[in-house]
Amino acid sequence: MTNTPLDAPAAFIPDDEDRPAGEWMEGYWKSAALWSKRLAFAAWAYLIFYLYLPFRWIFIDKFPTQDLVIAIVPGMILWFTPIGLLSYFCFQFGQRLENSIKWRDQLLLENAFLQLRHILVVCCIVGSIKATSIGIEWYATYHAPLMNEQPLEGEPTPVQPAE
Amino acid sequence: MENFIGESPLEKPEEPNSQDLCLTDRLMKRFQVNARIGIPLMVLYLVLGVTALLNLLIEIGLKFEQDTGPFYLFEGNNLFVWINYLGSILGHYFLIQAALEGLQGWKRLLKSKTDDDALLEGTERLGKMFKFFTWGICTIVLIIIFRSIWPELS
Repeated sequence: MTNTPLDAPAAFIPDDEDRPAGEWMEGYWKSAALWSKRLAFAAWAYLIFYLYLPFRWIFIDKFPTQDLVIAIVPGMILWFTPIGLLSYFCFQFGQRLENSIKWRDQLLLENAFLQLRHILVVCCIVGSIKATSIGIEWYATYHAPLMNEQPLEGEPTPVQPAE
Repeated sequence: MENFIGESPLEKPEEPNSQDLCLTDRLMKRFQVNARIGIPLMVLYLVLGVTALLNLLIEIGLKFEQDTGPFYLFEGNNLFVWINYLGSILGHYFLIQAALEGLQGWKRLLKSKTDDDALLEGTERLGKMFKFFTWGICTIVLIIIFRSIWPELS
């Protein structure tokens, strides 16, 4: 007894209307699979350094303050999780696409493009977080010079000329 | 005549998976669905990339305004600051290029159901999208390593 659903195809049987993908298409798929796996490794390298550098400063200061840990750790988790998922899905997409071409497995090919959808969804999350970060950066860039022009506490305020 | 494989000429080896990979309806539908998500996503990344690049250029402009007097590249940490800026500009360029390739690729894949050229070109551009994203992230990693080596920049 197996738990496969009743409508799960056991093997792919092409219809008469299904066209073969062809060598060019498979060549482009191979290229996409290769670069997708490289992107996964690059994302992992980014994560490793992104985690290593703040923790390096925490461990250099042997008694890190609670404020420092509270300030750093949630941001790291918020950024680490979607990037980690992104690298996982990129690797899965590349691996499945390569295997589908190697083993001529149609179902694995279609599954690979389902993984690509997961990549796009995670990219939406990453893009939203980055958009928020850039918005805060713009606010700081444009409002900081304006705030510097305001008189500090204790300084005499400029006298407004009478109208 | 001997057969080096050891099979008789009348027997064919069983190859259940020896078939071409096909462009099935289900696969084409997945292209369409992915394209509908991918197009607005690439527009978002394009806007983010251009915004971040503009932010960086404004920061460089503000730095020019604040620094008075003659500029010497090898004085102080000027060299490291400018390598950092140029590396950041390069990283942003790769990310913007990746978003452009992705946008063009997904647009073509959206109309690939009835256009074979669009299907081929869209798939080619997907590979380029992954390539430029990889180069962009590698550049960012190199900048992170660079900044950690020369702490004056951080």
